[in-house]
Amino acid sequence: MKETFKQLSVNADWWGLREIEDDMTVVSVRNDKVESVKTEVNKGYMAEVLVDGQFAYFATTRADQPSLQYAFDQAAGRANELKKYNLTNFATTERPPAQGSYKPNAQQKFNNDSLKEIVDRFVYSTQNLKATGGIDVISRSVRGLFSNKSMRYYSSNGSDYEQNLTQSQYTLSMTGSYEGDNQTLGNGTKVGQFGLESFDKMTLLQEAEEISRDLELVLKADNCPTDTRDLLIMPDQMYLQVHESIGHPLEIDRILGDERNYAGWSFVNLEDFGNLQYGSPLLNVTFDPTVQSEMASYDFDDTGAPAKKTYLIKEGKLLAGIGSLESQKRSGVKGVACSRMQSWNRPPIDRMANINVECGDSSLDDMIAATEKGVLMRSNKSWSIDDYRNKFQFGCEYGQLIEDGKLTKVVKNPNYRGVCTPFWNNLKMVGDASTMQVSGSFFCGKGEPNQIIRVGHAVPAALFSNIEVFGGGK
Amino acid sequence: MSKEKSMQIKDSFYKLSDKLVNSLNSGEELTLNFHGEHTNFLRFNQSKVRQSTEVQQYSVSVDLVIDNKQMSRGFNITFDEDQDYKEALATLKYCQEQLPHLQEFNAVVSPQAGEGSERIVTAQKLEVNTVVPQMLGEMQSVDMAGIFTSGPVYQGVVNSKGQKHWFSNDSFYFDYSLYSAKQKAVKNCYAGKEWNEADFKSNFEVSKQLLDKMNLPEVNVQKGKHRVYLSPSAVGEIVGTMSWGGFSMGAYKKGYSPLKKLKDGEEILSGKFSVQENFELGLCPQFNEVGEVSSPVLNLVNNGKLENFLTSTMTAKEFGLESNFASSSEFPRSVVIKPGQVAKEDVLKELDTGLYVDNLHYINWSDRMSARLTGMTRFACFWVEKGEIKGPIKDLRFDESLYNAFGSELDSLTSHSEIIPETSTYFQRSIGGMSSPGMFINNFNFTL
Ligand SMILES: [Zn+2]
Repeated sequence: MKETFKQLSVNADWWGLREIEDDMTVVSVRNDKVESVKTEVNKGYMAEVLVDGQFAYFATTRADQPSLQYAFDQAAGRANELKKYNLTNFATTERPPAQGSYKPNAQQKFNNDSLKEIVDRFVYSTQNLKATGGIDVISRSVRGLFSNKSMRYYSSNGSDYEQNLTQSQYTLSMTGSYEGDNQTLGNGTKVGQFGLESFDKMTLLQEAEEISRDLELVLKADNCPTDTRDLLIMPDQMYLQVHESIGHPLEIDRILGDERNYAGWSFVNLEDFGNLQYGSPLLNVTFDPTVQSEMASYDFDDTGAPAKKTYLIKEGKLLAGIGSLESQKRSGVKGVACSRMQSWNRPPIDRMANINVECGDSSLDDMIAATEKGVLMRSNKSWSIDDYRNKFQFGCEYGQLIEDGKLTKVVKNPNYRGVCTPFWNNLKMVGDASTMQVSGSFFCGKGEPNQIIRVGHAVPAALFSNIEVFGGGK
Repeated sequence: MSKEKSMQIKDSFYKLSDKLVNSLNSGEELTLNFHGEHTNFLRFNQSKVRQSTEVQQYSVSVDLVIDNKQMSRGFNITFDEDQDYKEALATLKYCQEQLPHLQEFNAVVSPQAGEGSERIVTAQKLEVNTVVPQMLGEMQSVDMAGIFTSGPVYQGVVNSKGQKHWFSNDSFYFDYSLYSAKQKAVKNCYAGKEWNEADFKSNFEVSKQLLDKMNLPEVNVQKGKHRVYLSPSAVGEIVGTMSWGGFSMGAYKKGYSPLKKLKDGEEILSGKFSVQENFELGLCPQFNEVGEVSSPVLNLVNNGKLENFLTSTMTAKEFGLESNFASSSEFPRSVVIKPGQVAKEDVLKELDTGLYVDNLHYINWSDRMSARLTGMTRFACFWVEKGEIKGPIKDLRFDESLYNAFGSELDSLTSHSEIIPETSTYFQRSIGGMSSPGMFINNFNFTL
């Protein structure tokens, strides 16, 4: 591909080519049977040009030289047509040359022997989901996504960069019924840059046993009370709270209005950077592409910007945004290496990558002991937030009351709602390293045309004061 | 897209499929799915061009069945005949090697023989340098963000029992929103097959007039229960979320159907509420990914009563039921909601006093078993008093059960329906859309 790229002649100020291949397998096992196995190899090429300040893109499945030449010619022609309607006059500084190769170690890449092994482990895991205490089990299931994704990137100013990632996610869960009510409880979803080494039978057995034990408690529980109390959020809910109410509102392309017609705007303004007290002084949020096994660890983003750990929020104060070199030029606000594309057929835009909350110094026991009247929630099941990222509502699969410094009875359908900055300013205690969990998602949606991106969130458990909580029912 | 182009793509897919079917060993059954598109995406912000992306993507997914074992693998097509055949054979070989590792599953669906179909809808190619000056010319007086999407989409299915289906459509949409200086917004979509400058201008005029109303002083509406008018697109947002498992027989059997209590007779919906899967809308193919053809019209909820869940052949086999040839996801593909009696010009009068909700945003289940949904108001939402618009509102969060909203509190529906085109473009362009009227609902619960 490198040789083909060198032979192209493009009438543009800058041009770049990305070859992306994603070999992905999705496996569903239900009630010890393989319900579905879907795999695909999605491979293609994105030609990108810059002409008089205007970028344009052309994506194709064809790798031969005439086809790529055609792709670049089409893109250059389109950039020429559109440059008079240009929103921003971009330059080659927005496409710095990137060289090298990123291959994280300590992971087993998926190969032709993996499917057999995955199926074996998955069947074992559902076999170990068991009914207890007279509940009816309706469904025992596990679903996993396994991807080997590679990118090669060449540009007219010398980029020659290769990235190889192995990314996985699986969710083990059981649905049961008791006295006419159905509830589902899962393992909170495990996500990251890992291969087969990270979900051996021991791990799966332990997860299955916890779910078997706790689903009975949830099914026999009362609804979560409706009142205002302290809320202890566990990492498998915390990651999504961070994603929706810190990650998205800090995306600079949202603040600049690119997403207004789809994902939405942001309550954050450009003037807020360096000024806004986003959360309590205990809140420290980083863009951190260096955490081993976290979903979006990499050394360059998809436009060649070098990735470094950066504080977005320090001691509660907003310092930097999730903005690419393009967004930094448009806004004048400090950003990070976050220009990312879903695949070969979408242009790069501002995306979360690894957006983490740094751990504090409270153990889980400290936080429980410090709570007079509260509720612990874990394992997300519902999420919703407005287009300015202000008014949110979340629901979890598992809740447990905290009374006078002790965990007491389990409650079902725990939900809470709040408004972004008041909520983060109510952050009262932050869990220490022992409470940290690396989490994330394969499926963050944004952009027109729509794009899915894989994000990581390493987060601790955290305690918030005075939160509106409530349960289910019509 | 010309008819010839569609036929050409179809022929090369059919040829590739025939070759692959001929290479099968005895006892092997195969289904091949084709998806392709040639799309121009133009993204706008501040009435200027933010990004321009042209995409040519074509893929085939190979679904192999041996005995009661099944798996699929997809790959991309280049239209280099030799290369594509080589790739197809390698893909088939991968499945043949992997399949023995799976256990048998009694609900595996083998391909069936049946009549094929072909539907090709063509349109004249839209030249970007003709359309863009018209779009942006009008828009220079306003702040617009949006996306223009145009070009053909192709879908095909072939199976080893000889069934062949082809569907292609050529269309565009310009999905946009306009913003006032006070960050108030309205949303609209101009969609069709042929671009017509006069139609576009009148679509834009409607949006501009609505945006003027958004400049009235904001009305501070408290949370609590209000009478609301939900526009067709707001109703569409709710029914879209309902479709995540709501009409699926599999979801019911696997324990997570939000309409479980309706099915079990513990809850009822209003007699005014009816939903159909209705392919007479003509926006998407009637065949599914295994080549089965659904009946043109299927009542899901009829006058408040659940008549049918969407049932795929796989679900039917597993649970001993009858299939209605739903897609494997059991999502509705072509929803039609039955309209009511209220004339378009009487909407404000009928609402009388309450909230006029033009759009909803980010809806999710807050309690599935109670069919309770939460979400946000978005874009043009007004407070109306005695049939008169008083002013725009600050966005509110609702949290309400469908057994109330589409049940006891559903007061009336408009006599006109709107087609809401499917504009989702994750991975590839979706096709289809739904038809919905507006709804008047009492005591709609706002919580934040
Ligand atoms: Zn997201």
